[in-house]
Amino acid sequence: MKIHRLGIWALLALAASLLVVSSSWAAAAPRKIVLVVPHRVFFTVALPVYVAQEKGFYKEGGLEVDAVFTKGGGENVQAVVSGDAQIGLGTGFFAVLSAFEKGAPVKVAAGEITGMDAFWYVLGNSSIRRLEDLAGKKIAFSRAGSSSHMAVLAIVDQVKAKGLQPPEPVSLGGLPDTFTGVRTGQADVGWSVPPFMLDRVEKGELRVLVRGPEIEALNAITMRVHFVNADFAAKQPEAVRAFFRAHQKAVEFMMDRPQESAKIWIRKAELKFPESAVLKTWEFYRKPQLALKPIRGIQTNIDEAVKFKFLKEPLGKAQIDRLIDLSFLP
Amino acid sequence: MLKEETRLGLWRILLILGALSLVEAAVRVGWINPFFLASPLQAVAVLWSQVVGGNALFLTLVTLYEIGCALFISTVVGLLVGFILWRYRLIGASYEMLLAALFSSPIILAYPIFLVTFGRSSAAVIALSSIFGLIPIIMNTKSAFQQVNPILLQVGASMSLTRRQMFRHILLPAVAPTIFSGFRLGLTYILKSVLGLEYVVQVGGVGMWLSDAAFRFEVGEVYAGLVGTVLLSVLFLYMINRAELLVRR
Repeated sequence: MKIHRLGIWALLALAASLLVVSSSWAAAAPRKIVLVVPHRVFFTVALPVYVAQEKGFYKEGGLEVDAVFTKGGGENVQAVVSGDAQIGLGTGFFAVLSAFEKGAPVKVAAGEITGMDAFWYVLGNSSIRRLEDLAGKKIAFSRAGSSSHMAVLAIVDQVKAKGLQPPEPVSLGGLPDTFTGVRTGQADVGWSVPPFMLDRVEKGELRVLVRGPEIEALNAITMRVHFVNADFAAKQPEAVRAFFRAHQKAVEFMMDRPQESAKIWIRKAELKFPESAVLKTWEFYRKPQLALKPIRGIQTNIDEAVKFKFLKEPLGKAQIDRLIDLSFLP
Repeated sequence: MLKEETRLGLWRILLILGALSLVEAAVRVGWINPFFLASPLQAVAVLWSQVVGGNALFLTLVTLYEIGCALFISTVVGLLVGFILWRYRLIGASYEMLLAALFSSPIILAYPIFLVTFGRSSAAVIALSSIFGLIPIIMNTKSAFQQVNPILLQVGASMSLTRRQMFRHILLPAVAPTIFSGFRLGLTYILKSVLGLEYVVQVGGVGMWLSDAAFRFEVGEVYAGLVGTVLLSVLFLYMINRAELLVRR
């Protein structure tokens, strides 16, 4: 009888200890986040992810982050809206506005870049040397409604303001198509994003004509944002906060330690450029541009989104307050 | 009692309407997320508004022009080359395998070369799409001539038909079914190529519209464009079928 009672107590003690252990395991299990990243190379979206992965910033925050690379824009938005991904990085503000207007469960959680980060180049032997030389020339952008299009329109305005014949914007698509277009004379000026084309600039094949920060009209406008699935953010706000803490740390690391970050970038993104060309990327970015908050130029973005038919009508204040939620940021 | 053809036609319409009704119901009830699939009625409404008040008609004409040009080039060149491959057996035997291999290659990936050569315009779309349509027409034309029953030719000779009469009344009706199958296959590939290139490169008509709509997250317009595409292909297939009936008369 004594032995029988002892056995029951032993069993109960075992059951209790198993309960404690399993609940602590559950609490310690990393929270899973699927992230959509619009490019596996771009400095402002891919590199922070690589740095955070390499340096363990996600693990520190108790997160298991799975990065999925897409073509950006609508593809990013659809992945987050469907719930396949929880966070979308570096997506054009217009695409997120458009989805929000249609009732998609999205929230803008942070800014990715304020001001323009692309640069415009000419062939090394081109006679175009200054902004004024762009009068009457063809200048490339990717597609209508993109941030490169907005930048080109701003450049056109800058040239017009000097009393010169405005340049002609030409849609040439992505970076390789644009480079081909410039080489074959379909445009006089092409666009690119660091580190692409910087190796050719180093060799003298190309020359940088306009850097993004020189496009004054866009310097106070947040061009791309990070956004979250609103339902996920409501259920797991702490996971979203942990992600942006890790992301902030990664951005600070990469801006403070370019050499180490360049090595991570070259390895993780399998870059074929020489390290010297890759390091030139840092000349194109300043820390304040990559600040996660505030979101600047919201009204300008909304007005342009209506102009390019991403929105049917401007959003009201209540809608903007519902859309933008920076409470997840450190 | 309904005729067989009428019955089949009615069944076809019923099946299509049934499937569309299911999709309509699924979107309205919420089984399918409307962000990813527009309901058929919404797509038709958007298509109508774009035709009446938007650019859809102009863009459709551009795409029709590209498809028409590509089909014309493929037809003329395809028939000629197919005939030569049949007529000169050595050439035919040498190139048949290469053509078959080329047909299964992802030629679409060569689009940057066409953009450089022809510029970012409809010309590049027509040039590349013509190649897509060309190969099935060549292969079917060669096959069509190879399959002509020699007895038919002997019968024609026995009736002392002139070469022109032989061609018009015996050879042409004999090769027409296979050649027109080649046209239908060629048209399918041309349609895919034209719309695909327009979508990727953002030039031209309906494909460019689809790409733009997808970029702006306008799901209704995307599916309106798809409905327009289906109508385009039905139109072209109908024209090919009528042409075949005319030739075989």
